[in-house]
Amino acid sequence: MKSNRPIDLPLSQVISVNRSPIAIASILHRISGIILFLLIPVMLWILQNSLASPESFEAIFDNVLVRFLAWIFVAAIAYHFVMGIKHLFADMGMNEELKSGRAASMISFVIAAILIVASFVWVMF
Amino acid sequence: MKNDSGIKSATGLTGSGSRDWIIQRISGVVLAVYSVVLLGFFLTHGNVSFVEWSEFMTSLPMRLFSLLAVLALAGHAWVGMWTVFTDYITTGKLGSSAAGLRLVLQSLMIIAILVFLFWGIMIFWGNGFGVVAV
Repeated sequence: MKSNRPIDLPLSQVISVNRSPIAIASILHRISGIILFLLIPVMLWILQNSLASPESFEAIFDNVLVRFLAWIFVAAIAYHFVMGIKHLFADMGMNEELKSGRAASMISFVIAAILIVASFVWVMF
Repeated sequence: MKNDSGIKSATGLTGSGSRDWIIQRISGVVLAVYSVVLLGFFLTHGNVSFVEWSEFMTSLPMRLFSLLAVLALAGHAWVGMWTVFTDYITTGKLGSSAAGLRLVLQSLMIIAILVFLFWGIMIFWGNGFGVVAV
């Protein structure tokens, strides 16, 4: 069957039309995943230095830029983690209706925001 | 459902959508548990010293768990990035150059993941411990 549903809309148009928390939660889940992918080499480099010697351990965490990048990574993990759990619940058929879906997205935003702020304080200070 | 997206992809992880799907879930859960274990370590060790950190990470259980996590990360990133590329780098969105661009990006992504995979294994199982990365 040929569907007349529009496909291949530009992402900007999709976002401007659909501003529901469900859609925002979903696209940010993807963006956080892309950020995490791009930061894998940075985190492996930090990990390797943190384990190589006491000197490199001190040096790597004394660097504010390194700590900031580590915080971006931790924040992206926190968001991706929360939305991943939400996704697993959706896989089991939960929170798939409009109202419950919105509620699940809003609750996930709040939890993710708390984790992101807490991780900033924890990593940077 | 028939795939009418115009995308015939050989660059998925397993060549099967349902298998990629389940791998994404299993690897996601592994990474989630790994994150919670690391968080638990940091929460129970106020100001972590090098000795505490390296003793924890080089213990056999953590070496094994880290190996599992690195493997899970490779699979998870592969399936995730494949999904992103095949959703946005499409002929419908970018025109006829999309297929070539997608192939290049996916090839780079796969090569990068293999590098990260071996690098990660080297950190935990090679002689990476004594070596400072520059």
